[in-house]
Amino acid sequence: MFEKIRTQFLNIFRKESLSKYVYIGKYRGNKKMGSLQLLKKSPLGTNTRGFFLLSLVFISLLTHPFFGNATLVSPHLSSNTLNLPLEEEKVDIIVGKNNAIITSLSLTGGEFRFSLPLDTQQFRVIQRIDVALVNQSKYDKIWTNRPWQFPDGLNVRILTRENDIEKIKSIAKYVINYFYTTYNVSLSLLNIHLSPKEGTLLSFVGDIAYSVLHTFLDEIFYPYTSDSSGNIFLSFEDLLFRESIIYGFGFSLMRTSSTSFTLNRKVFLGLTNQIEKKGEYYIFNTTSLFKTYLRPNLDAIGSHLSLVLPFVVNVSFVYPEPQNVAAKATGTFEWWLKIGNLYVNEQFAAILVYTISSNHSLVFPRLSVTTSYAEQELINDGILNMTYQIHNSGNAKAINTTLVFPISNEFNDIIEHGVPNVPALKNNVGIDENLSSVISIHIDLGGVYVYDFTLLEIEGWYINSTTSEFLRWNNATHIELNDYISAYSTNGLPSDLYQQVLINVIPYLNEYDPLQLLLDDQLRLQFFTQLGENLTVSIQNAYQILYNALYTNKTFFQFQSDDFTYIPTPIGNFLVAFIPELDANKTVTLNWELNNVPTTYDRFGAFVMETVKNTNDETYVKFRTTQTNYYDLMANIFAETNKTGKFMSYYDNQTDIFVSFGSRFVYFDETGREYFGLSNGLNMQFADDEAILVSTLSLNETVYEVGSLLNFHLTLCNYGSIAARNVEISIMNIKLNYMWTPVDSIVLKTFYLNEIAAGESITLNFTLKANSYLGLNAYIALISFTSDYGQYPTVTVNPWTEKETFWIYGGETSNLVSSTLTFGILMPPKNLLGQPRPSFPVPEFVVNTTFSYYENTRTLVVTYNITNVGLSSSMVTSYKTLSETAISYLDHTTCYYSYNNSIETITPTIRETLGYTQIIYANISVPPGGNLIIEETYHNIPSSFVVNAIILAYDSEYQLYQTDFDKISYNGESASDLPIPRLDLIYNDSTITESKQNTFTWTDYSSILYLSFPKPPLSWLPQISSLSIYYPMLTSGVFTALLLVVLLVTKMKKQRF
Amino acid sequence: MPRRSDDTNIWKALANQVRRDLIVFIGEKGIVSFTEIRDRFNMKVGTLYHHLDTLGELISQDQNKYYYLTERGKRAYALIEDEIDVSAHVSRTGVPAFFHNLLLRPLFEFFSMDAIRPLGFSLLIFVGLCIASYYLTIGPVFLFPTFIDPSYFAPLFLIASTLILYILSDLTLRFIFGRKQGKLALLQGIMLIQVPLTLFSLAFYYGSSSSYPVYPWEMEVWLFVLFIFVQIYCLGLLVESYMVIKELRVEKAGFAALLITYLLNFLAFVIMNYFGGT
Repeated sequence: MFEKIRTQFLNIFRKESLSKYVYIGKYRGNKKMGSLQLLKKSPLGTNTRGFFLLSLVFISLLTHPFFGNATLVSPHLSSNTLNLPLEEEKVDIIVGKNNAIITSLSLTGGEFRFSLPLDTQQFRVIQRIDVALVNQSKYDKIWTNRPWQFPDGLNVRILTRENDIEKIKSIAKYVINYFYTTYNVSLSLLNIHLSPKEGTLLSFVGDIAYSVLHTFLDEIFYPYTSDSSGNIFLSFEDLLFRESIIYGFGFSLMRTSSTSFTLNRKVFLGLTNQIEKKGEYYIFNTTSLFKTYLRPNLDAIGSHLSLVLPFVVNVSFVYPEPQNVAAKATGTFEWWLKIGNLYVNEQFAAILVYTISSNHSLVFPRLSVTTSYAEQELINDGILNMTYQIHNSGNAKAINTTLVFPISNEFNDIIEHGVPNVPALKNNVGIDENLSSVISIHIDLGGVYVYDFTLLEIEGWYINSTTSEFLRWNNATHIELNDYISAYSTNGLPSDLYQQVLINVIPYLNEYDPLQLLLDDQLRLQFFTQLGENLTVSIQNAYQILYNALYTNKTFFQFQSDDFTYIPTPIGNFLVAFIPELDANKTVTLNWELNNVPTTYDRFGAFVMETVKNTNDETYVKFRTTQTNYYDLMANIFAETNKTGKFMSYYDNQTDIFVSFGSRFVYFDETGREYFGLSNGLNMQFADDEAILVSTLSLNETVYEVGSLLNFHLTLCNYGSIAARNVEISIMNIKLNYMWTPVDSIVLKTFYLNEIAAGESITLNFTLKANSYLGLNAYIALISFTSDYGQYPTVTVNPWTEKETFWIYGGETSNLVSSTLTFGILMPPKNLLGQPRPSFPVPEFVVNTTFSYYENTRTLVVTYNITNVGLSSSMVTSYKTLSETAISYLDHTTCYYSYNNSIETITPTIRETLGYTQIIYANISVPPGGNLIIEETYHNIPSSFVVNAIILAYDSEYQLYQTDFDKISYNGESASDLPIPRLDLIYNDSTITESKQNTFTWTDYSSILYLSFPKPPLSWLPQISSLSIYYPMLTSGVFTALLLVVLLVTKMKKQRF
Repeated sequence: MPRRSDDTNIWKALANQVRRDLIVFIGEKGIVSFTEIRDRFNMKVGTLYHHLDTLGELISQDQNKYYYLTERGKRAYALIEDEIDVSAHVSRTGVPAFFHNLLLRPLFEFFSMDAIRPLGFSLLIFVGLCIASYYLTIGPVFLFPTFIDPSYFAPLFLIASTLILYILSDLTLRFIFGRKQGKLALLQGIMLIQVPLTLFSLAFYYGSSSSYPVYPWEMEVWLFVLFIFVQIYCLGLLVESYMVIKELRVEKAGFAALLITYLLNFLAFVIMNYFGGT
């Protein structure tokens, strides 16, 4: 359940954030101008940034997947060609070691003509195929580990749902044969993973010649290889062959249905000496790197470039101004080149100047905003007083703090319209539901014709709530209307009815002569008809008079605030507050109110006039007065209009969860550097008893290094009236992008609480190791819980119609709320020389591969030396997959673990999978300086022999930036407990433990040895020495020369020899 | 000087085209009657007798009055065919004689004169070579001694190498120079050539590692010098055997030996690198 919630978290967040946060961007576009003013003045006008962001939102509404992770498309498949829209062209640049650069180009979708027989039977069962050509042997000059988790060479990875061994073997054979016949590349199996659930993941690798790179590159990126498609790919192609030290490129094709695919293509390059250093300043210029201005692809819906500094710096200058929020603080600079048909930067170049920051005494503001309210005030007085406590726990003044609450449609309806047409009893009016009275009419025409009929039945009546006397009521039980008509009541009748009868009926009665009525049947019939009509008019008039006298229309939910401004916009409605300055260690409280919120104390009476029949099937009128409260009435209104009453939450259909993420705020320090944050979410609900959690996450430390222990405090307070149950808390480290949308998140720690009672406050104190996202390092707690635990949907009754309605949202619901967001500044760790180092994954492992060959016995000894050269310990799993053929040559293996001059022998374990043998050499924690030495001895090897790579899976303590090839979401390991080469960050189960937190599984590979030796002798043939060409040439030459000399001598001496 | 006088008569006999044709005709036929000569040349009988008389010692008649070429006539025939058998003119003294003796000319002449009588001795020597190669585990791939494992392949290589060299020599000399004679003598001569190679194998056995180094100059110097010497010596023996047994001039014998050497060296390179590797 909780996993499902977390999975949806980012998507939900995105859905709302896209439209909501843009408003912030508009505000920031002109700091001196209020948001409302800006929008009114120039919604699409002179402010370029505002226009840009507004455009972005509209485009996002039209092409939402463009901004999301999942991109489902329905391409046209014809033969080997895919025609997908080119959704995105994305260039990423990361500054690496020693002024090196890693840059990558990603294309999502687009036209694709790679010669894969996608419509063949063998390929139809393949869910996904990745092809990547990689050479990262010199990665240590650029980065601390391989940017892509592939071994060098041509990598082919397929994911199929097949689990049948023979079919998988057939697929593997087909793939190997296909690449051999098509590209003349001999693939061998690198790794295999089986899972009944996920299918089978097969990884192949083969050696390729440098000369064929061009062929692959052009084929994969066709048709974007010409200048007419912009020049970004061409620039990458040029760099790859001209300057790159390491490179990788390939595509990932995933089948979403029989004819639908998603496609990602990517090329990455590593280049040295791309940052110019002048004094203490570092200068990066895109034109120095690409040697040209970048022109986006004409076909791309969006073209985007980002530059990332994976360490804390002081940015002195950046041009053009990035379009993302907090660029200088986060070290991430983002620019759009093209959106739809709009060219933002038709010819793009950027320059960045920075100095390395190593000052731990940083001065900056740090705001936290806690949203809460007074439950008793709401219950007793019907006033929802929502307070925002803004506290600056930093050491510098916060400038221009803008707090924005993007309000839901339901809340917007409440603010704008209240609850419509709700009649309220006037002051001092109460209800006595016990009063009942029946009013009947008696007509006696001379004793010949006598009639009795019921005129009106009354159930319940109004009283003066102070004196308890009936209001507008006659106690008379017998009223002579004239000589032959009387009215009788059991307990009196409404005085207003009596008055209306006098007005409407008496004049009419006076018009008739009783004698004539007695004698004339026709006249009598007319008389009774008109009498009935006049009595009806009297009753109706009396009802209206009574209603008007006793009731008044009441307006609920009156919004009021001196601090917040309600701002409706075409793209969403907001409550916005602004604080010009907030000093360090100061707190400001802002609030907004909803007045006249109905409470259970508010009485409500329904006054209903209805027609009923008695036992004689005679029709008469009934006045029914019932008493209830406005609280129930409100529930009924919500039920009948299918509203939730949770006006601060969003309902997510996919997860059936109410989500609330609070308010966003942005502020600046005195240098203009941007900061941002989130207040806590609040699952407020009207008209229902609910567990309502207010959560505050705080962090003691403000500036820290990777590896530092951080002290957190999470306070959870149940403001509601019943207990919160099944409380699951997940502490997350999140990275937000320029739209304040989480682009990455890591679950660091989880807690489970069975219950938080109403009014109970719980504080959780815990420590975490700082490990991710240098610079602004943000943490947040996500709390999921069940409110109204065990309750069924509330049955509400409309007091006017007595109709019953189930209010499903009044029963048990699941909620997800966020805590306040807190952050510190995370500094990079120091290396062994005490200097700051880039924040790349630690530990770092180096795999050295050496081999010896003994010709006489055709024995090959391969030695792998795996050393942890990083800064922390890691759990390492080292294994290798061997084919049936390879295992037949393997004579024996040995594995040693060495640390601090002590050597321990490790016994490898062996397992069979699909006819392949997997040798698990070690599964051991390796501290810095520790190393594993693995020796494999092969005997009688053939002349052409491939030694497969050792796969090294280890826990990396943190990972700053995702550089790897596109992900495979693969969780299946039932046939294997080996870590699979996972290429993305996937949330762990909620059962994550303290010891396992903060880790990523990273995969590295040893070199693959492609060996070629002299051919082995066939057993029935003799073994003889080989002969180099020099010997026969020498012999022939000497003999030729000698013969010539002899002939010459014989000629000269004219002597026959 | 009588030999000089004989030569004068020969040149005189061969000065006429008709007489040269007569020599060729008789040489081609081997033995021929006067009637056949008359039919072939279609001239007056008196004229024909004149030319036959002028040929003098170049021809002779058997008891049936059939004409045949004398030894001198054969030489004349060879002279006419521009294939003079110079062996008869080899100097028996001085430096050339030294080299011819070094190259075992007397032995080859012995084989050439009578190939049957020394055959047993030759076979005995060859069997000895086979046994030696077995124990040395070294056999020749033509001109290149090599370690051979298993050892029983060594004599097989020796036999195969000898036979191939013989067949190539015989075919080459037959088709290029029309020499058909002396087959058995040539076989014995080639068997004789294996002797120095086997002797060198002994040195190779003690002085070499198990294989040829990639570059010849990486061999020990003495072994390298010996290796070159033995090979040249073997090729010299081959040339000498062609000259003596096939009655070829040194130029032609050398040319044939050179051609065969190229071929053998190529074959050796292919075979040793196909089977080689230890």
